[in-house]
Amino acid sequence: MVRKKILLVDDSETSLLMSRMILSKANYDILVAKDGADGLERAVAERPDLVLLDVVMPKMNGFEACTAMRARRETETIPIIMVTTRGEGTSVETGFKAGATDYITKPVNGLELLTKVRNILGD
Amino acid sequence: MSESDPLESYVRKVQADTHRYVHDLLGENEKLRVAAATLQSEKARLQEEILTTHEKLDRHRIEELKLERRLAEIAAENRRFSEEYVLVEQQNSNLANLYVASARLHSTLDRHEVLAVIIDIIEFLVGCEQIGVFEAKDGKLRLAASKGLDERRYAVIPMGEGPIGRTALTGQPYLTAAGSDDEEGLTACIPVKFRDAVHHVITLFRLLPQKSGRLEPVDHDLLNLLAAEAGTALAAASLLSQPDSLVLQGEER
Repeated sequence: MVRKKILLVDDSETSLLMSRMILSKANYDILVAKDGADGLERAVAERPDLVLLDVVMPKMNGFEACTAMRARRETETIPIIMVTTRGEGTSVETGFKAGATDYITKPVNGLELLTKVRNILGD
Repeated sequence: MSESDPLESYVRKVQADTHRYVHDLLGENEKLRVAAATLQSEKARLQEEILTTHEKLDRHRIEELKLERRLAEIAAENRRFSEEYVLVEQQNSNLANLYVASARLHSTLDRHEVLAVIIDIIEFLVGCEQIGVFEAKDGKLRLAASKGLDERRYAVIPMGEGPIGRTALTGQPYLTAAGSDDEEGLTACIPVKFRDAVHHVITLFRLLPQKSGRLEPVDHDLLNLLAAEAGTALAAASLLSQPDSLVLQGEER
């Protein structure tokens, strides 16, 4: 069976390591990008099954990267979970307007993340 | 009476008819008797069948009750497993938190990077948007690293002054009670020790809105780990960058 690919886009090593720890036991292939621009490039090249996209990042923030992914034919249908530091309505609304499929707030709750990922990937 | 007597002839005819009629009736009667006997037997068989069906029904009802009870037990077991699964996943997540914090703290020997990692851990694993790390030096606390803080306001704090200064002086952590409204928005002060001497104080001011203004048990575990591990990580980094500073200070203390 082909393992599903998840692209983590985050500039924080701590957040990346935490997400890797949580997702590694669920048998996914994890790809990593350190900013929005790099994330967009990797998403187009690798066509992951899911993108976990941080909001506050250098070069291109998560909202911009999400909008850019939706505008590209190669990535327009890939589910995107925005990982927001602030869970307030405006931040979430901006994420959905940019084309996000769902969102999760930091600090990431392992069970919540796994449940959302599994639901979206149909596992 | 002669054979040709019409009366006699009539009587004979009536007798013959009667005889035939009686014979027919007897035949009919016999048929009815057989039919009645068949019906009786059928009735008895059906009654027996009804009895057997009732018994079967009773057995099935008992079986159904047993199955319903088993189903309820399995549902309860399922609920228990789900709760245990959530608990185990929560514990896994908490352990992952601690592992990540520890791994990140010891991933570098550069003092500035260690300080940045401490801020990162507090921001992303605890969920705080105003953080300060103060260094205890020459009887004062100097802001060594921060996030979301007014750096000028907190640049220097005299030892023993306010919750931050007292934490540095006593080595005791300061935690505000859940829901309390500290005027500075302070949530916690964590002394970072090396060889029993406080050399840094990690301060958490305002938590992220989704934290509902309080630290959870997992946050306390993480802060305990930071108090111990951050001390070692900072000491190791200081030792490497300034071999005669922190460790010697620790020995002098």
